[in-house]
Amino acid sequence: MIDLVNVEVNYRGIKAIKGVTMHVESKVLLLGPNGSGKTTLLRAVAGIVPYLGSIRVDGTEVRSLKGYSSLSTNLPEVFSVGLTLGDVLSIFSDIKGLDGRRAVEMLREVGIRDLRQKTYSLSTGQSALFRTIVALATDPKIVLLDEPFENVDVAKRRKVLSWIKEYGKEGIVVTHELELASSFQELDSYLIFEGKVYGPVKVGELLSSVVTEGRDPEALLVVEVEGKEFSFVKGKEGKRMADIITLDRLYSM
Amino acid sequence: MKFPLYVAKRLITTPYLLFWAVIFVTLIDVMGAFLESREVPHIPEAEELYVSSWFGTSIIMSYGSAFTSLAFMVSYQTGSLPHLFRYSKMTPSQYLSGVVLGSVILSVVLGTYMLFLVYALFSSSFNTTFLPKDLPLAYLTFLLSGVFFSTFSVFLGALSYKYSRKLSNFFTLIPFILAFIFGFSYLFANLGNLVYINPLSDVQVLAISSFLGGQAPTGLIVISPPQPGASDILLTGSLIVWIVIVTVISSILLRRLYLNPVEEGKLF
Repeated sequence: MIDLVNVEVNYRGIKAIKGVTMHVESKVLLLGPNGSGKTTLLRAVAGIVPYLGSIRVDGTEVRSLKGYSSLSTNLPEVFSVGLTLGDVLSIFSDIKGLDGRRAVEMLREVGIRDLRQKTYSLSTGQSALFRTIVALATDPKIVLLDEPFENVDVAKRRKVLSWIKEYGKEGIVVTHELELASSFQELDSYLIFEGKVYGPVKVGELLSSVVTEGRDPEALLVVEVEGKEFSFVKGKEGKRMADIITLDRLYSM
Repeated sequence: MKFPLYVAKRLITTPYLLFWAVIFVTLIDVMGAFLESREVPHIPEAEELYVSSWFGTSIIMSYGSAFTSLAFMVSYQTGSLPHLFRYSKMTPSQYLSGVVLGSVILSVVLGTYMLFLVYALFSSSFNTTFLPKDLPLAYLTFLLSGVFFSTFSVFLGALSYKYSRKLSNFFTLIPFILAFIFGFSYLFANLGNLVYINPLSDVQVLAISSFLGGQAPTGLIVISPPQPGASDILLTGSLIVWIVIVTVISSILLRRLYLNPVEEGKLF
């Protein structure tokens, strides 16, 4: 269970995350455009950046957490402990209980065979696949996945999707691609804009809603972007969320 | 834990380390043995001191280069540490001891190579046998050097990560820069009692003493009057004090480590 209460993250005095309160006890999607604070929020939960407020993972404050192996993430920073893919697998099997054999099988399924490759030499898509596979192959209870489909081709995306559904009981999956969100219709989703989090709302409902400018009293959700309010409303005429494809397009509406 | 073995394996197989800490120092030693040695008076004591000082210089240069690679490695790894200390079995103490253990393996391997190198090159050049006289002291020096440089590298890596990512390359080069500054200061300046204060001179002078089999002078530049011999006990004690100081600071920095993202810093 992840509990965030009034969480703020500052970079040099600028608030990247502004007073976020969330309660996560299943797998949820965090959707937001580029630069909205999705990765920063995951970094805070992953203990990588300092935060104000409270973030509790299974009841323990993250800043004082020690040795809790049931949470895994694919955030790139976490993988700099080893130089080659083989090094990372070896170290993670030692300190995170990674199932090395399963990880190698999964890597082969997505075409990554040479474990002597340096982690930084992987393409963006391969890197996302490698990190996501390592995170999932530790069989975590909680997963924090940041853009697991980034630059991954269609066939491999299907595999990753099935693994994300299979591994981890709860956690946060971050993406800015709404097309992929449609594969998680039954999950709750949160939206993040300019460091503020809105939700939860079912992914299916969100995608079938239309986006209108202004505050609609029947809205599933009202968000604020660049000082303007937008409502996500069901059963009305307008631009459907599912057709927007990426949330960055909200800025041009 | 596989981590110390990983550190040792990565350090020993790093091409930059092999070049700077082994090949480059070997080339310098060749010059010392076959070119610069022509000016050494044919007096056994002078030759022994000359060879021993080359051993000390080789050790400090080799370690300075090698542990620059370690500082780079630690600086690269620090990004993952705040997460792993919370969400894995790895603790700051285990990480530090892993780095120390891997580094001690490296310092012993490099030190042993330098022993053979200096023995082989200088014995061949002077046509006489120069064997290290105090091997236990030599290996104690290798061991303490490994511990000092590893904790110092962690200190530098954590410091650059915490305060200035932009200067991280400079921070990681500090062992190399200091090794050359202090290595040559001992040879070309009269450091006197300063050899007891700075840890790099401690390493260098202890290495010289171990090869010489007696107290090394506190400076080589002044021959007359002869400089007093440096106390091995004081040098060892000073090095241990430095190790304790740097270890404590590194442990504190590691426990308070957080990512200081360069990218976001530029964005805002």
